[in-house]
Amino acid sequence: MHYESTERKPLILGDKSYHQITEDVVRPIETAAPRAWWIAFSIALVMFLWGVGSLAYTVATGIGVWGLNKTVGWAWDITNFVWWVGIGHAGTLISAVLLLFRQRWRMAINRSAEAMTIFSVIQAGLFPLFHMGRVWLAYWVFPIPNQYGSLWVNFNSPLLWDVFAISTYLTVSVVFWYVGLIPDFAMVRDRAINPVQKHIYKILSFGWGGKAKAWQRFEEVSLVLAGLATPLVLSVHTIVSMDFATSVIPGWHTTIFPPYFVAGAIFSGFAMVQTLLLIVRKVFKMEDYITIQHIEMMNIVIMVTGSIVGVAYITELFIAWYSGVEYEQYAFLNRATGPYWWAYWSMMTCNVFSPQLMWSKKLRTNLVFTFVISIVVNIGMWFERFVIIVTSLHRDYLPSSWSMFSPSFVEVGIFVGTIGFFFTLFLLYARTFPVIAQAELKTILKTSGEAQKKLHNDHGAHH
Amino acid sequence: MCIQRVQYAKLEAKKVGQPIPDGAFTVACAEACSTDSITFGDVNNAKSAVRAAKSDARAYHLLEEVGTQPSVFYLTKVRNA
Repeated sequence: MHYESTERKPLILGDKSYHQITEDVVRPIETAAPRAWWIAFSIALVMFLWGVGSLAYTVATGIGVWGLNKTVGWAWDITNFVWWVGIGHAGTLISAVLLLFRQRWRMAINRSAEAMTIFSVIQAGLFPLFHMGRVWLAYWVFPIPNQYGSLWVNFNSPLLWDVFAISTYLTVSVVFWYVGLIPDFAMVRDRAINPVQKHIYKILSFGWGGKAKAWQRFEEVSLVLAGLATPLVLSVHTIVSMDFATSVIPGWHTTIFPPYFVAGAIFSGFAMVQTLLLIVRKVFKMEDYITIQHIEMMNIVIMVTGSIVGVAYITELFIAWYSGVEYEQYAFLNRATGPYWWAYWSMMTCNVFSPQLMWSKKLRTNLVFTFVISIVVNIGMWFERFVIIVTSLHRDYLPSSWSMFSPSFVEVGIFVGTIGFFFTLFLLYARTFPVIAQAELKTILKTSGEAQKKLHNDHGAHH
Repeated sequence: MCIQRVQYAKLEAKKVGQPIPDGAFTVACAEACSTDSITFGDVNNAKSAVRAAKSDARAYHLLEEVGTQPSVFYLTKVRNA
């Protein structure tokens, strides 16, 4: 058997048995929802319904109800799209890349991180869909053979690459998430007393029997899916960045975009995982599984990716000057000192300055501080997309077509609605799905459990 | 540009199996323009009127330095230089 050095901090605190892990993970599913859950769920649902109303108004009247104009034809819709897709990235990184690197601390957080990925990609997908105006023709984005004459997709367009990238990403993420859930659904099924609940989990668990052969296949398929999902961590946001980078707008037409966007995506995604898990561990009393060490690890990832984003911002500024291209230079001067200066400096403060505080161990292990920073980072990342999109578009080559953009209440409603939709899905997930991959977590109990580690240590000292 | 008109003309030409001769087809704005300010045609056809206009020293593209090579081009004002 594999033993882990005592120098490594335990990943499961307290004296836990396999049965105790099961009890702890299944508790939110088997017990009634606390009042706090109902309050949170009601708020999320109201926000979601506001969004549904705003979308219905948009579809019925047309996208003229948004604040877009001839110059700024892309604003909140694409900002929100990129923001939500970016948030999704941490889930894939945690579940796939950390699995390949055998980072065992991922086991306590991967389930919720993957759930977050799927729910945020759903929100992201809504924006391009509704920006089409005529939503019922949305299937035209796929290369479907038809008899409409010249109707065919443009394979040179990064927007089409987006269609493929996002749909592949969503499919792989859902499959990966679901495969991991099968043994855990079977655990819920085996314990269920209510026949309706038992039947639902029976269907969901695909008749999982738990034979050795089934486990071996489970492990293999997880590894294969991790291999398939890993390139997606890099490719999806690379392609999203090409929506901008392949155009000729000053401030967009830069080769730094793909790595810069990928780092930003992981940065914002980890911040969102942090926000969600800090709530989950508190409400469901999972402090023994999602330990301070887990939080610290994620804070370190936030700090590193935040620094990469900071370097990218400074590189952009330097290259704008160094290139000698007046248009490029003006684009960046306008970002920092133009009419949207407040957005630029909000972005700089939230994304470059705030994660640097994580160098302090005291701060990065402080829960309240971490929670605040995790929200600040996502505010900053929203501003980053707003700055890139709106400030580049509103003043480009022709001063005669310069203009300003401000959102209408409908756009605000849609954005708030997606936040509501996201939390509605997440809150429903938290009460019906095992929020920790308990089957996986049990595999490290003997090596990384606090009591088990101690026992082995004491026992070892006698030899 | 007048997608229905262009598509129709292309399909008709395909049926006949012959290229559209220069001047046989034009877009609605060019047709309505009494002073010939707008010319439509095939720049790849060396004998077309639009090609002649393009070869003129007065021809330029908007934001030519960006290098997107759009199919619309303009002729500068005739100045008494």
